[in-house]
Order: sequence, then C-alpha cells, then structure tokens
Amino acid sequence: MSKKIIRQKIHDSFLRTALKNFAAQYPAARARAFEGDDFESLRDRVSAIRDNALRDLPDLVERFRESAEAAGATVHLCANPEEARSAILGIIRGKGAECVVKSKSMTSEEIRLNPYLEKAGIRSLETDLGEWIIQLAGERPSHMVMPAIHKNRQEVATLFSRETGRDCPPDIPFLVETAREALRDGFLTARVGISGANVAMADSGAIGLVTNEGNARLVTTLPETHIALIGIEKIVPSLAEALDIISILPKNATGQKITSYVSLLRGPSEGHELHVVLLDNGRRQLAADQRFREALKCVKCGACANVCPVYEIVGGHVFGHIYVGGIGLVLTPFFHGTENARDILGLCIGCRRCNEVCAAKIDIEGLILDLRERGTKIPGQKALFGTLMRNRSLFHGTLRAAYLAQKPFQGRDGRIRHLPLILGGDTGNRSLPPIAERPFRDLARDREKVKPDDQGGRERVLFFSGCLADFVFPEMCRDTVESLECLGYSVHFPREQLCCGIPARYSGEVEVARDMARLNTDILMKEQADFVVTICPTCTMSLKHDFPNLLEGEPEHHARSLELAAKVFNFAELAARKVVKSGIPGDGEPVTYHDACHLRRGCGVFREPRTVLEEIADRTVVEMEGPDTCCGFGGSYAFKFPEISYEILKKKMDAIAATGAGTVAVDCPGCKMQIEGGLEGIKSRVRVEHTATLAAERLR
Amino acid sequence: MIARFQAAAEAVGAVVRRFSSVADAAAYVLQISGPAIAASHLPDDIRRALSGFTFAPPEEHRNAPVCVSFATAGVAATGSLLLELSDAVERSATALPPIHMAFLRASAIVPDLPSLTGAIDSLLSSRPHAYLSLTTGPSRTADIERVLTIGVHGPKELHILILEGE
Repeated sequence: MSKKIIRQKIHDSFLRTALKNFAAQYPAARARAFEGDDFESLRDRVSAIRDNALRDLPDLVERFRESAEAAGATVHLCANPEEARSAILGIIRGKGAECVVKSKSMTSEEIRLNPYLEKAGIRSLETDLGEWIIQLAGERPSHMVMPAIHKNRQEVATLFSRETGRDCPPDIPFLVETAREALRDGFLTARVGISGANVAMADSGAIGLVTNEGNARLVTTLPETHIALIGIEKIVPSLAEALDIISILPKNATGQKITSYVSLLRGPSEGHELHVVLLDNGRRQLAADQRFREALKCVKCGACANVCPVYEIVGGHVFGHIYVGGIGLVLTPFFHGTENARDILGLCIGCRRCNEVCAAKIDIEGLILDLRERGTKIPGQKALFGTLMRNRSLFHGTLRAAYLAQKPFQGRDGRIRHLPLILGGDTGNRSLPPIAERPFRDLARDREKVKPDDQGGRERVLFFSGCLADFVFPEMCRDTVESLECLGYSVHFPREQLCCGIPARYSGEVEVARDMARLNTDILMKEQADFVVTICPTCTMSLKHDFPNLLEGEPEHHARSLELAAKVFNFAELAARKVVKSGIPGDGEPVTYHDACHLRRGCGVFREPRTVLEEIADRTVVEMEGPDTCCGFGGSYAFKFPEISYEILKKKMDAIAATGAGTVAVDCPGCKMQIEGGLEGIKSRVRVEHTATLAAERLR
Repeated sequence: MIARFQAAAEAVGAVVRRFSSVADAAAYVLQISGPAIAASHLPDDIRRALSGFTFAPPEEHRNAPVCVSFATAGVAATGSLLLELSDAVERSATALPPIHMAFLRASAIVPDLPSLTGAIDSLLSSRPHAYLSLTTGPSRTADIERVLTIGVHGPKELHILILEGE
C-alpha cells in the first residue's frame, strides 16, 4: 500500500470526520437494534446455517436451480465473471434494450459489470443513491452497505449539478429529491432491471432483497425483465434460515431492526421474465477448503468495517479492494487474486474487534493471519525468524548488542526519539523506551540465588515474561513477581524460555511459530507448577490458543500443549483469585484502564484487572470512552504503518485525557510502550503503568 | 399488541391511525388524497367503502398522489406490514406514488417475524409465482453524510389504517 495514498486519506478531513462520527454512533445504534435479542445465539445460528449450507453447496445449488426453474425463472450457472457478464449481456441484447436500471449489488461490483456493459454500448444506471453518487464520480464503493460514505454534500451537489444540468445546492433533502426525480424516468423506461440478492432459498427457488430506498422494488417491478445476480454462497435451504439472515443483517449493518423493504420473490410476475445468474467465481473451491471456507459465511453486513480502527482512519478505498473491511481483506485473494491482496493484508492491526461483531462469527483476524502465511512473505524475514528466533542465545545476544547500539539515539532521559531511518521515518511524534541494560532474566537469576522459589505449601507459578517485558521493561517483570509473592504464590522464572512465536506467525512464518510452540511447551511442562503467568496478552493468547492449534499434527506435543494451556493465566486473573471482595469501592487516586485487544477479545479478560486495581492497588477506576478500542500498537504494525498507528493512538490519548486521571493502567507491555511514547511526545504528565506495577506499589 | 405495533411503526416514521369502522378509515383516506387513487388488490368490504373513489389505471400509477393497499399481516415487534403483491401492476401502484396508505386488520397483527414464517412460506409456495413486500415505514436513505432522509425512490409517507372492532 503506497504511503502516499494512506497519507492522503489521513489528511482527508471530511472522510475522517464522517468515519469518526459513524464509528461513534454505530455501537449504540447497533445495541438498540439488538435489544431483546440474544446476539450471540442469533449469530451462532447464522454461523451454523452458513456452515451447513457450505458443506452442501453443490447440492443446494442444484436444488435451488430446480425450484427456481419450476417457478418459471431461467437459471444461468456461471463459473467465472466472464461467463456471468456475457450471460447478462446476452439477456439484455435479446430484449433489444439499450439501458438497464440496477439496484445495489456487491456481486456486480465483484464482476465489474458496469464497465463491461458500458463497453458493449449498454447504459447501466445505478439507482441506489450511494451507488449513483459513486457511479457519477467514477469511483468504487468505500463500504459494502454505505458505498458513498466518503463523499460529502458539496461533492454530491457538484456531481448532481453536472449530471442534471441544474444548479443543485448542497442541501441533503434537495439532493435526495433530485435523485428521485432524475432516476424516475430510468425506472419507467428501462426494459431490463438488474438486482443482487441477500439470500436465496433452495426449497422454493425464492430470493430475498433487503433495501431501504425502494429502488430495488422498482427495479424488480417496472422493467419486464429482471436479472438477479447472486453468488452461490447466498443459497440456504429454506425460508426459516433466510429469515434468520434477514433478521441479523440490518441490525449489524446500520443499527436498524429491519430495513424499510424486505422483498421475497419467487418466479417471474405475470407477463415478466426472471433470469437468475448464479456466480461461482471460485466459491465452490473455497467452500471445499477446510481452513478458509468460513470466509464464505459472510452475510455482507459491513460490521467488520464499522468497528475497525484502521478503517476508521483510512476508509474503504485503502482498507479493501472491491470488498472492503476485515472480510474484504480475506475475500480479495480468492475473488480478485493475490496480487490485489498482498498490500492490503498487512493493514489489519489484529485487534479482533471485527471478530466480536461478525454476524456469522467468522474468525476474520485469524483468517487474515493465515492468509499472510499463505502468500505474502517478505523476502529476508525468513533469516530473521528462522535463525534468530529459534536460537535463544543468539536472539538474546542480539538484543543485548542492541542495548549498546541504541546509545547514540537516546535522549538525556534515556528514551529514544530518533530512530535510524530503516526503523521508522514517521515515528518522530512518539518516543521509544530503550532496551534495558540488564534484562529481567539477569535480575531473576540474581534474585533466585538469594531467594529460592520453593517456599513450601504455596501454589507454584512459572513466570513467562515475553520478550518485550524481559528486555525493555524488566521492572514490570519484577513488580509481577513481587506482587504475586505478596499475594501468597511462589514464583519461578524458567530462564530457557523463548519468544512465544507470535511475531513469526504475524509475519506469516508459521513453521517458526510451530517450533517455538514445541520448544516452549517442553520448557514449561518440564517444571512442576500450578500455574503459568504471563503479563503480555499476546503471549497469553499464544500459549493458550496458538500452541495447541500449531501442534495439532504432533499428538504427544499437542496433548502437553493442552495441559499447558489449562495452566496459563494473565497476571490480573491470578492476582484477582486472591482478592477477598471488600465490596467497598476503592477511594484511592483515580486511574483509568485501557483494555488490551488481545486480553479483552483474545482471552475474554476485562473484569479481573479492574478488580485488581480497585481491591489490591486501592485505586478508583474511572472508565474512559472506548476503553477496549485499540491503542494502535499492534506489534510491528506501529513501525510498518506509523502514521495509521499514530492516528489511532491520538484517539486513545484524547479518551485518556478526558478522564482527568493521572495514571492509565494497562496489562500489556506493547500498549504501555505505545501509549507512554505518545503521551511523552505531547508532554503529558499522565503515567502509564502495568497493573502489576500499581499492585506492587501498594503491596510492597 | 396493537399498541406495540403502533409504537414500533411510529418509531420508524409511519403514521398510524386506528378506526372502529371501514367507513371512518375511508373518510380519512379522502381527507389526505382527494378522490383519485392508485390501489392494489383490496378485500370487498374495503373496496365497497372506497366506492366513491376513482382508481387510476396502471399507466397513471406514476402520477397518482396516493396509493391504497391491504396488508395481510402486521408485525408488532418492528411495526412492519406484510403485503402480498405478486402482480407487477399492483406492486407498481404501491411503489410509485409519494403517499402509501395501507389497511391492516387489528386481528392480523402478530408479535414478531418468526410468527409469520408459516404464513410467508405458504404465500410463497401456494401460487405459481409470488412477490411479498415486508414494508416498514416510508422509503429512507442515509447515503449522503449518514443523514437520515425520508422518501427516496419509494413512498415518502406511509399511513397505516388499523381496523379494529370487526
């Protein structure tokens, strides 16, 4: 992705305001729409419906074809975009039509139908307001549901003035009325109408269309010929499944309980023709792919874009190709080739908010990670991960050498403000903490010499620190150990421990990650212990979830990794176990809490840290706006896309400042590094501390 | 249930009126529309009550100020109407005019969409071809700057005339 385009979007103040406002109002609107519904059970159902349908896909396609034909429709089964486009052109030519009216269809964007028809001399008129706007502008949708969200009223007024030859003021009701009048003639005169479909039913051959403007009803009513272009994954067995999808879609898309119009139609009306163009375009093959089939469960609600912190900064013309948002990143390589996917797959920051809201419960973030592994490795990183990460003494030796190498870049306070260009031309607005002179592993050795950990009768905890805490924040590690000891645990730091493997996996080096999983499992399971404690949520996720997944093909190690996973807890969880709830809210100095993405959404932990802060650290927790939105760190993301990372961070810093708290607590060394660096850059006095540090301050 | 339906429909911008007789409802239509209307299929009692009106021929649907229709069912949870409009001409009658007035019998209101699954299924499959419109409020868009604007391509007003006391 070119830095120039990213920078252009970051500085597009209308785009930024539009996306920021939408992101701010969406969660509440969505929550209201789901009132009285159990979102989790509804999406479990939708996920199961899709899953079953995909397993049966060839059969469902055949059943739908038979039912639709029995109802009088003509069904065209098309293997690829070229076949679909020429089938559609053939129908239009057969009717001698020169103009077609269209309602919104992402599938028609997928096959780039409009340019093809225009080339063939057919005028294709988009009638959905947003689609018409971007058609006039010669652009592509920047959101699957709100295609023109990037356009403001002035731009729309200019486009409409040019198209209608009348002077259109930038007044929204006036512009909407202009579209009504300008497009009316198209509806009344076009002899062919083209629509998509949100769902198709195999038992009856009916299709369902979910719309708000009423244009789809006109497109499917006034012209004598109706062409419905449908991706085969939209087929479900019957009406009951279709209604579940229709029910979740608008709630998740725009926060509406239901759209103005839901049209269910079967067969052509009297005197009309109905052609159903079913598009495969790799779907059957994808449906047969064990790992990636779940991408086809998507109901195209766009919620993954609505909650994405990166989408909010750059919009859909950067964050996606034809399909945008998180699922757009996933679908692009399958529908539009790896060439188009390579640049955009890296844009995901890995915060997992999309997973939390996905209507079909797709593991969008996991699919993106696995796709990176499949085809987007950067030459040269193999040596870094392959040789360096597997070899502990070499890796740690390199980090120690870095301590000396960073010296010229350190400011008087020791922090790093100017990195050599290779690492970050655009990180100037944040400072970085230096690599510590003595990593925690050295401190731990000295400590255990004078104070052996086996203090009879106590629950024994192994401390897995993670590389960042070990080498950059040794005091955070010390605070963890001391807090846990004060709370009654006995703590040991196994010095052979290696990197958890996540950086390798995020860079697509899954074999390296697998080696790390195997080696760390051996190291940690060799010791007798009740618990393994981590202070980096990414490590927690890796140990708990990734190790067993990575080792699935190695029965012996897989079994041990499951045993290990059951023992792994985050610091706050272990600390909170020892809390005897006073029920008295903390009355100490106010602290605000930032939820790390991988702790909240990756591990489901968000109550325990607050309990620790209130009950152990004796602080008063003041919640910030959006405590669980990403801080913009995302591991190497902050260095790969420093500008996007900083824009996300700015929003977080504003939320922190608005609480008035003098301290922000985090449970992640990455979040600490990012937020502390940003706050230091704007000369804020707010402290950023790991929960363990705040607990230790009180317990010591 | 009627009250719930009314609240939900009004929340999405529909006008809801409750009548104890078809004649009162017809008088309300006359107030809004004047004597010329477009109409989809209507049950006999309603058609009789509207006998003083002139019904626009299909080619005049585009110019009719008001359309009158009959809803098969109402959904209380969302304020939605289920309209059976399998005939394309009847459908255009409800899609083109700026004002849509739909009759709904109070007894046809059900709690939620799943309660209608059976009815929808049989409407879809009991005839050679079918077109059902689940209609909730007037036509709307938020495609320019996410500002909600009522009335794009479909009706700008939806009046629901609930017939009670049959």
